[in-house]
Amino acid sequence: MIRIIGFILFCSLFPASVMAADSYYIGLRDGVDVRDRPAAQASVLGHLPRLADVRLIKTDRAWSKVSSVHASKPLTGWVPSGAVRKRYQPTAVQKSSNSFFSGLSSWFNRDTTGGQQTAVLGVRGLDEEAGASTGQASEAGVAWMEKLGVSNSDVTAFVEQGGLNP
Amino acid sequence: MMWARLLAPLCLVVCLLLPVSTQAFDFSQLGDALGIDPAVTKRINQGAKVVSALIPISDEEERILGRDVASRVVGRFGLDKNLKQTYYLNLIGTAIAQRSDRPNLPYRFAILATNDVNAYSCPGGYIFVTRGALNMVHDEAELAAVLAHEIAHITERHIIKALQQSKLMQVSGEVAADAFKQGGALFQQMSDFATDALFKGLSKTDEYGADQKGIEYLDRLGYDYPAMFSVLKELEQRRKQGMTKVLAKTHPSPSARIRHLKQAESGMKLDAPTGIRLKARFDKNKKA
Repeated sequence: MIRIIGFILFCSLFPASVMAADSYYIGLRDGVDVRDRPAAQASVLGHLPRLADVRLIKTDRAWSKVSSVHASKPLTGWVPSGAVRKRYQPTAVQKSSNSFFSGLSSWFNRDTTGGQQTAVLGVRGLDEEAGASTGQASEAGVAWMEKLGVSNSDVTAFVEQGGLNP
Repeated sequence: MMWARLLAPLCLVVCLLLPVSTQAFDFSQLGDALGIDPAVTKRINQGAKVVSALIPISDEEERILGRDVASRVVGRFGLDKNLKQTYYLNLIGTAIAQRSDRPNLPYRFAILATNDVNAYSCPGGYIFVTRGALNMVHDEAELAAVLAHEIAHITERHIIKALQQSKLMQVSGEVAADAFKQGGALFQQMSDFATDALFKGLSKTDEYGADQKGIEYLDRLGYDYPAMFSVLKELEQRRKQGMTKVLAKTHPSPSARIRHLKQAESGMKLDAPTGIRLKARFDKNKKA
């Protein structure tokens, strides 16, 4: 009983994010060949494309054993460790959004229209003096800056749209 | 010698425990009284100064200081408040920052209304790019390179480390903490120091280090990291034409930065360049 309580207390010391399993993907531009042994001369079992989700089974120095996650035909084997990257997982702090740009993210991929211009000018009009150079410290300018901020979902969409690493 | 061996760790423990400035206590007098070799007490005194220089500055204290510095930067140049371009800048910068070594700081990015080619990073996550720098870069990867360099100054705490090693921080931890909480003369001196470091320039080592970390961050996110070299080459061209006088005062020459970066690159574990420059997306947002 004492052991069980001790184990529970031990586990409670770790935040959930630490206990959650990390996810990984293939980060090389041209993808990577999956081999049956951790050696460059080993037979090629298949190929995983860039950004393919993988489960990291174990790492043996320069080689990592992985299995494909979402592939139609499951593939398990060895790839160079440098090809495997940990997927970025936002922390609770980053998930919170105080975005001044809320609702504006959809502008991003649109051409500028009259309606959108109106909205921009409307926001500018909130604090026109904050942008002016005064030569003295500008509290208003920093406050304007702090109102800005992008939501995590906006950043994720931006990264995906650009074909960048997730 | 036996005395010295006993005294050295004792003095270090005393330095860590006492809430008064270690600078105020001269161990050479104690050493003289105990008949210890002056060379030994001199080394102990040096150690005490190092201890006093390492007063920790928390992320929140750093943000408070950085906010004050940022207000001076904005006051000096003014903001270019193009909302769509600022949004775009925040998307790029936040994506890089999330994959940096200090992802949890509240980073904010803005455009300064000056045609000087430069960028500034204040402690705590306030980052500025000038209108001149935005007009200079050719694609999104180059803009990301500029931001990655500035983010690296923050993640490496370059200004904070310089402040910690300055005479200003040869005070007790309590005095420093009060300065951050309540402002006052010491806080203003710290802010002056950080602002000076920003406008007069950090050490060459810090600049080379920020370039190196910068390409690491570009690589993590998947931007074509040679974009950093493209930016430096463009800066070198402009330097030859005398167009980057402000930047030249605060940074090593671009050619020296390229040289150092090339040397460091061979020892870094970088993927093959991705070729992701995103020029079309950049051009679209630049017109906004």
